[in-house]
Amino acid sequence: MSNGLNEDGLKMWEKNRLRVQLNSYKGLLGILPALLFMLFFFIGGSFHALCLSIGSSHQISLLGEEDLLWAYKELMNPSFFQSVAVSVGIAAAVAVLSGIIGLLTAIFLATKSARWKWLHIIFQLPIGIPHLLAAYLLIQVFMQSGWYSRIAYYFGWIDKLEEFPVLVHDEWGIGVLLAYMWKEVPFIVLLIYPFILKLISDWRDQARALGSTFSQTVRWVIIPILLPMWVGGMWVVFAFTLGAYEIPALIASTSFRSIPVEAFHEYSQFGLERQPIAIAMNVVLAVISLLVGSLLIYMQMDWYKRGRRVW
Amino acid sequence: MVKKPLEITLIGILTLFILLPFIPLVIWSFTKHWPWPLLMPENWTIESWTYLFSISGRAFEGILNSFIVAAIALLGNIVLGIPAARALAQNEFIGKNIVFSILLAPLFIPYTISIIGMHDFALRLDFLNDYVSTAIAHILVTLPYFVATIWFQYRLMGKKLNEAASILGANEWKIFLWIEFPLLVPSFLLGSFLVLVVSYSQYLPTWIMSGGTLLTLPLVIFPYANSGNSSIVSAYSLLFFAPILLLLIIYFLLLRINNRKNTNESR
Repeated sequence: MSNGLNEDGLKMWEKNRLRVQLNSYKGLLGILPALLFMLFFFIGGSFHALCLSIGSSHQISLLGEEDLLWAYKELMNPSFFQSVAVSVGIAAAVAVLSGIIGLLTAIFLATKSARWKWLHIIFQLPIGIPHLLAAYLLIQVFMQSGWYSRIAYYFGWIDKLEEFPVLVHDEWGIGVLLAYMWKEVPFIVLLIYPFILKLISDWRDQARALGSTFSQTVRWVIIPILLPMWVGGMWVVFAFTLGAYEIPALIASTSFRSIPVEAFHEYSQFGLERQPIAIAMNVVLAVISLLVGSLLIYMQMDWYKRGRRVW
Repeated sequence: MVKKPLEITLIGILTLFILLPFIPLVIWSFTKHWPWPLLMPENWTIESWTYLFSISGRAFEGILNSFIVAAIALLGNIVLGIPAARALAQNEFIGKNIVFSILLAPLFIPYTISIIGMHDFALRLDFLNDYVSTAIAHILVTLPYFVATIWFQYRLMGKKLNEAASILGANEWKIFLWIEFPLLVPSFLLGSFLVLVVSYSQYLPTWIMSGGTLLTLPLVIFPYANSGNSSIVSAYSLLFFAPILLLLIIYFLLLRINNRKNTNESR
């Protein structure tokens, strides 16, 4: 008899312990759907695409031999390496330039009073506008026959259409750069402005009491605290620019070979056999972004170790 | 500040850089012929606008498709995103950074490759309808924004109110419904706005997932933008802005109603 009771008691105790444990983990359950979604679609999708690019059976039957990495081997040529350089270069340029201009703008906005509120609205306008239309808007004004060249003519700065610099479909990707800046500077401002506002209100008086000028406050207080977020924002811009299609497709000249455009071309126009090539190109982009990100994370850890010293 | 005039000039240039491109867009949509170097066209017409809403213009179809996909994507974001953001903000556990970075990964790594993979999945499953599969791709792209926005608000809130409520005997659902959600409303609105706008403007994910067959607005516009028919593209672009503006107005209205309700309650 007493033995049975004991067992019951044990069961109850066990049950209770389980419930307590469950309760402490129940809060975590909420993550599961989103985590599974990302694991399945983002990581699983990437992995599946990777498999498609490696073990493409179409190609094996066509060549009669097993060359699993043919898509990657085909990419091993100077013209693709040049495309990589072009894509990474433009993405890095966009990220760094919009990072710097965005930071300066955010600081400027944060030091101004409520009278300048309308500026915020203007700087938030491009956020809601898709890249496709941003590209089109800038083509419309920066083209040689565009609105700015008409204004230049009106003011007598140029006499002929040809005198206006080639900014759209140009060789150097200036148009691409301008269009991305139009979109990404406001993004950086939106991202860091609230933090700068708070930092300034927290630290300005103290810094001033210690005798620092405003630029010293920015250099010694704001930038060191904000650096991880700021660099993170630039990484987002870099990764986005690296993989985005619309702007280079519309603004860049055909000689400006950016990888997303080439990859989509392969993907959409040359049928299934060429699909592994498109995937392989995108794999290269993802790997580059991952490498840059790992480098940034490593540098950040190192930076924390050295006591957050800025240059 | 020492370099004031310089500062003002730079900000002025940046402001003009952002604003000026809108002007010729509006002008172009009301004219067919506008040769260089005229600052303003001589003849005005509304032909492009009538073409837009004709059957071959496909404007209504585009808006409707975009709207359906964005709505499904938003629903998915709410179902997946809010619990995830809540759990991440309120709990400390081993591997939290890893979980968080997986959820935000599409922001930091170009996602085209995984969408190509998803498209192949969807082809094999075959029963998924285009709206749903495209919306799944859009959820992948938008979820990081949504989770980050909601997470941030949860962090600001802290856990104190929850603890008080649970001591008073409220269960999880009641806590969420009566304490957390009302405090969450501003960032919920902002997150939803971002999701709708980002979903609304996707070109490549929509194209890949639907094989180029689901004509959302960007897919309708892209061929025109490439062909260089300025007048029609301009009209389309302005049409594209209309829902975004509408959303923005709704966002501010809801935010204002929410704020007013809060101040009334606190009185």
